[in-house]
Amino acid sequence: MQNLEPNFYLVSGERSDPQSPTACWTELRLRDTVRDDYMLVRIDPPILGQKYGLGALNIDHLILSARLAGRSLYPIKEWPCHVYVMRIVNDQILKTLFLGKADVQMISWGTLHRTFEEAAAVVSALVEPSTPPK
Amino acid sequence: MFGNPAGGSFTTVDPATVGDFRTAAGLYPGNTGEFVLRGTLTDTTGVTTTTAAPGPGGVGGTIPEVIVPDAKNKIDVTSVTGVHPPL
Repeated sequence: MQNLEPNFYLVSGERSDPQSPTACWTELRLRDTVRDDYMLVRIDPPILGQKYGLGALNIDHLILSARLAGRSLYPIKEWPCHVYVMRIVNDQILKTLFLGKADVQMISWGTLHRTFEEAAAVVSALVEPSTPPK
Repeated sequence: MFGNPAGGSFTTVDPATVGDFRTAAGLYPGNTGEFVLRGTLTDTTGVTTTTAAPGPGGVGGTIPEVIVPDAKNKIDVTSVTGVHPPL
């Protein structure tokens, strides 16, 4: 499975905590009461779970959804694509394919990019020094 | 304009005028909401104006959103102020 090319690359995190581009493989489509375009992705590298109280357990799957009104991940029509990035709190959603607000935790905003190079360029821009206010 | 040049996402709404800006903007816990950057858009090339979509459970996502590619070169930052209490 992991030998397949990633479907896209995720960039997330703040300037204070920049993340390397994360390769994403799409796996499942989920819905809630409002929308039906939540996307389960396997990621590499995984996210350290310690920050989220998971101890040594790393996060290797995320839920993504389009962050801008009128956009969808099925299909992605514009790149980069702005997304909400969520971790799974309740594994049952992987069976029901239906999630409630408490079943996931939003951990970041992010953008999806078609290639590693495009994603890496965004990360580089994040870590460049900013211009101080005039 | 209010937002973060590194992230490229801004709003035209002053967060101080929104009762629960954190929910309305769909901010996540890692965004401490301790500072608000105010600036002027000097170049509209590639700029997209929309609204944020609701987060999980249909919560939030109600405020205008302005996506500014290469924001560091298109936003003239006028102030960065602390917010007490945080958003």
